[in-house]
This record gives sequence, structure tokens and C-alpha cells, in this order.
Amino acid sequence: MAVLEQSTAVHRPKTRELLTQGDVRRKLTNRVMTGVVGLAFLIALIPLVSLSWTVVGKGIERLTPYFLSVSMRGVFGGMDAGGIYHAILGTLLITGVAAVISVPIGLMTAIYLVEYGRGPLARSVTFFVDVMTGIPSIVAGLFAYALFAVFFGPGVRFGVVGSVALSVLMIPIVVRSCEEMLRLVPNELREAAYALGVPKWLAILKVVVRTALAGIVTGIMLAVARVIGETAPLLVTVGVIDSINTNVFEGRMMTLPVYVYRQYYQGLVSCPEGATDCIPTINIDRAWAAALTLILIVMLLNLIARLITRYFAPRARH
Amino acid sequence: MAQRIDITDLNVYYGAFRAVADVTMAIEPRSVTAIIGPSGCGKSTFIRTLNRMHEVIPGARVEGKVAMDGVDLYGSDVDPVAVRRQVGMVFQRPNPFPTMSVAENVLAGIRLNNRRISKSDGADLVERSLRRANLWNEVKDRLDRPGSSLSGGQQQRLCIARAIAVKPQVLLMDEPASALDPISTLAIEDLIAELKDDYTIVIVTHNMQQAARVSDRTAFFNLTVAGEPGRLIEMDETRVIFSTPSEKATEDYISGRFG
Amino acid sequence: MAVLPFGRSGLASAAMLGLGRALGETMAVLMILSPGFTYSFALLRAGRHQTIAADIANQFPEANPLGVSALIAAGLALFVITLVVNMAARWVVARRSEYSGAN
Repeated sequence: MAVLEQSTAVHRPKTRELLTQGDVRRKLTNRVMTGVVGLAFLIALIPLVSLSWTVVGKGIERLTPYFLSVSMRGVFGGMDAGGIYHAILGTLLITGVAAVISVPIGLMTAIYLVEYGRGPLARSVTFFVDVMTGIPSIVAGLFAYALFAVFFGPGVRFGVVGSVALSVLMIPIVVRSCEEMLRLVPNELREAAYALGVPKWLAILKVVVRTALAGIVTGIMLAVARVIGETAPLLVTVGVIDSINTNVFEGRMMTLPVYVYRQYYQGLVSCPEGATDCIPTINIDRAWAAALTLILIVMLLNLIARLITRYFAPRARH
Repeated sequence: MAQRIDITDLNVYYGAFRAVADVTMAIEPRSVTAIIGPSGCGKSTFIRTLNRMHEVIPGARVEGKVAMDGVDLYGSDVDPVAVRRQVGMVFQRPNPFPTMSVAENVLAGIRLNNRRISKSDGADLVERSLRRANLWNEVKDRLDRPGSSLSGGQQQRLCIARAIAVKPQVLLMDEPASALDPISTLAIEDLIAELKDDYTIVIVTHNMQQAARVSDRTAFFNLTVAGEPGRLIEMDETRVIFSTPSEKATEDYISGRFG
Repeated sequence: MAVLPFGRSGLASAAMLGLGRALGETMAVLMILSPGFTYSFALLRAGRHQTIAADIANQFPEANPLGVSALIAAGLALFVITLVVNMAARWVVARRSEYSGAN
């Protein structure tokens, strides 16, 4: 009896000890690791912040309405003139045509893979889409060049060639993200449509794609944002030009990333003594301003994508 | 309107696996037929063969005859999509289309098929279908709100309104109330009792009391061993099945000895 | 202990996919690197290195027909290298895919 009392008296403090005892080493490790992870995050953030700061700082000076509305026609040396209107136009046109090519192909491939594909064809399509995601951009440019050179001879350079190169890069992104979005549509919606006597293709079009539309638009915008900054393929397929060209089927066009490269390449201008209309760093300044414009265009596209998403999203319960 | 369905020697396969074997039964027009049985006995599989939804699954097929008003639904010249317009279905979990409003959901069977309907005809059809589904008073000032903004029981009645808006001959219901609360369940059961005046209704349920309350005839399906196909054990008028069934398995299931 | 081991294959594949993307990087290399004709492990000495992608971008505008063919052949070599790296990355993921929490 005395033994029993003694053992219960010992148990109570022991439980308390077990519960309140802090493992000092574990707590310290926890804190250190939290610090390390936080530090890693900040370090990863440094390039982004530094890039934004630099581009905005160096580009904002030249970014004027004048700059956005004239081309480089007739501008040479260190003249304080010239703008990127032709480059903006070229970028929008070429990327637009690339989207017109890749969105239907990509979306229909995704629909096939999700709704119809079962056998070896679906497997090989998935394999080739995977291969396409890894194509280096310069190789896509070479492919487009070689393709058109077969029909038009060597030295061919016009807008659509660049669009084909960009669409080679866009198609796998569109296919992958559309596929993800279509798979997210719950099967019960498809069943509901079939049970109402709706044929399969109409059910896909009006129910599945419509429900996934918000995600599909986001995927397309992501693909556009990825290719809009591609320089290398456009350099070899569309070339450089100083004046405005609105015809994608004929003649070279200037695009923003190629413009940035070109201006950088021209480098510093050696100004003669006492020249008034001559800025040595003019090329570099223009390059920074064009780079800032490109970043702003991508941000604008992202914003538009978000607005479209909000408009088309399946409305939840209020 | 409502038709009879005669099923003869129906065998249902998923690929090589036979899920339901040798079913022969008749479903009377303008009545409610309940299909009961333990889990996995093939009730849902069976009911999906009545509107050719079963074959949507890759590799699924059917042998035997399912005849509506003498016409074999699986005949070589019969279009499965047309069958599904005549034999409607309501699922276990309510599935209104999330991108459409209440009114658009009701008209979905027509709109999704690209068929034209004038605005006034459409509004009439919406009101008639919602009234028939006992939902009109609750949603009449909410017709433009999204279909998914309704409660579970209301969503299920919306799905029923959607199904009857295309004027089918037969209405299939695969456990329509199992995902709902008791009050909504009661509302659905009352609705079924009203709808049978105009439609032939086949309802799958795992709730025996619901089958006893709602149906005129009951079919009992059973599975002897896992891996064996499910079979129709007994079919009779509901009050007979639940008081003096002929088969022992039926009596065991009714009295809760298994399942 | 619960997160990182499961993410191991994903980490490896992400690193390799990043490598695949970097292999094709043209413009950054073109603008920063002072090109040379040889190869060297001394990464900090100028004028000794070049990458395939930067080389193509550099010489393509002024190449004669034979040069164009040579550059396209170099592009093929780059494509094959990138393909091998990407396939390896996907294989690493596919091996462990049944252990992942998704689907």
C-alpha cells in the first residue's frame, strides 16, 4: 500500500516533466534552418530586385511618348533621335501571328490527349511535345529558316518565318497547360452533358472547354510572355531594319528584343568635339528604354490575362 | 409519353470482366421501379446500360437486348446520343454546370445541342420545368444566379428540372438522394411520386426504406462472391418484396442480415 | 524529413530541366562572352570560350551557304545534347512517379 502510494506520487511529476521538457537542440536547429531558408529566399530575390531596379532606373529616362511613336529611320551616329515604334509593331505582329498558329494547334492537341487519346498515337504525341519543350530557341529559329529556305531560297527573311520559329516554342507550352486545365474539369460535368443527349464534340466544346476557359487563357498568356522576349530565333529569321514594316509576308521587321541587342551591339558613339546633337551613350540608353518597354508589355499582358480569367471563371456560390 | 422497357438476357462487360449477368425484366410505364442490392452488385452499371452511358467508359460493352416500346436501344441503326435524349439521367452528386446560371442550366439540354428556342419559349420551359421539379418558388427571383449557388437539395432538383426539360420518356436516377440531407431527401421523394404520372422512373437506391416508400415495383440484385457478376435475384411489386419475398437472399437482405 | 526526401527526384529533374534551358541560352552569352576559337577549363580567362548557340547567332547573318549548313549542323548537335539532358530529367522523375503524392 505504501509502495502504491509512492509510485503514483512519483508518476504525476514525471508526466509534467515529459510534457514541458523542451528539447533545446531541436528548437535551435529549427530556428537555424528557418533562418537559412529565409536567407536563401532573400538571396534568390536579389537578382529579381536588382534587375528591376536597374532596368527601371536606366530605362525610364528615355521612355517618352516621342520614343514610342517614331522609328529609327534616318537616325545615325549619336543623334538624339529615334524610337521603337517599328519594333513594338514588329513584336506585336510577329507574336500575334505566332499565337494564331500555335493556339489552335496546341488547344486541339490538348483536347485530343485528354478526351480522345488512348493508344500509341497519344503516347507518341506526348513524347514529341516533351521533346519540343526542350528545343533551344536558336535551333527553333534555324528550323524555321531552313524550312522557308527550301521554298523561297537562301536568305529569306520575313515576319512569318519568325512567327513559325516562335510557334515551335509556344506550342508545347500551350499543349501542356491546356492539358492540365482540361484534366481539372470534373468528370461529372461531362457525364451530365452526355446524359442530356449532347454529342461528344459539342459536350467538349460547350462544357469542358468553357469550364476550363479561364485556365486556358492563362496558359496562352504564359506562352506568349515566354516567347515575346526571344531574341536569337528572330535575329536569324526576321533580321533587322530601321523603318516601319507592317507586312508580315514580305521584308524584314524589327522586334523589341532584337532592337535591344542591336543597340547594345552598336555601343558607344565617339562624338566629335563640340558637337551639339551627339550623345555618346545614346545607343545604350535606347536599349535600356526598349528593354523597359518590353517588360511593361509583358506585365500588361499578364494583367489582361488576369482580367479575362476573372470574367470567365466558373462562378462560385455567393 | 412514358414508355415501357423490356430487358432480355442482358450481360454487361467491362472489357473481359462480366459485371452483370443474364438480366431479364420488364419496367412498366408510368411507374417507379426501384433497384436495390448490396454495394458492388452492379446496380449502377445496370442502370447505365438503359441510356447507353455505360459505353462511354473505354472497353465497356453490352450483350443482350434492351427494348423501349419494342425498339432495341442497342440496334445497329440506333444513335446512342438520340437514346440519351429519350432516357434522361440524374446522378448521385448534383452536377449543375458551374459556368451557367439557373435558367441556362435548365435549358442546357437544348442550348448545348445548338437547337434554337425563342426567348419566350425558353422562359416558359424554364418555368414549367422548375415548377415540375418543385423548385420554382425557391429560385424564381434567382434565375440569373450561377447554378452552383444553390444548396445541395436545390441543386439536385435543378438537375431533375434540367433532365425533364428535354422531355424524355424515361427518367433514370442513380441514388439521387444519397448525398443530401433528410429534408431534401424527403423533397426529392415527394417529387418522384408526382413525376411518375408523366414519366417512367427507374431509381437505384441503397436505402431500402426509400425504396419501400417511393416505388411501385422493386428489383433485388445480388452478388454471391466477389469477382462473380451481379444477378437479378427477384423482382415483384414493392409490397410483396418487402413482406413476403420468394427468395431467401432477398429476405436476408431486407431484414438486414447482410449488405 | 517528410518533404525533402519525397521531393528529391523533383529537385533533380528541376535542376536538369534548368540546365537544359540554360544550354540553349544564346543572347546573354553572346553579349557577355568575348568569343575565342579554343576551349579551356580556365573559365576566368577571356577570349578562350564560345558556346554553340552564341556561335550560331554570331556568324549566321554573314555566313556563306557552306557556313549556313555548318551552323545548322552545329544546331543539330546542340539539339541532341539538350534532348539527352531533358530525357534524362524526365526519366529521373518517371522512376519515382508512383511515390509522388500527386494523382
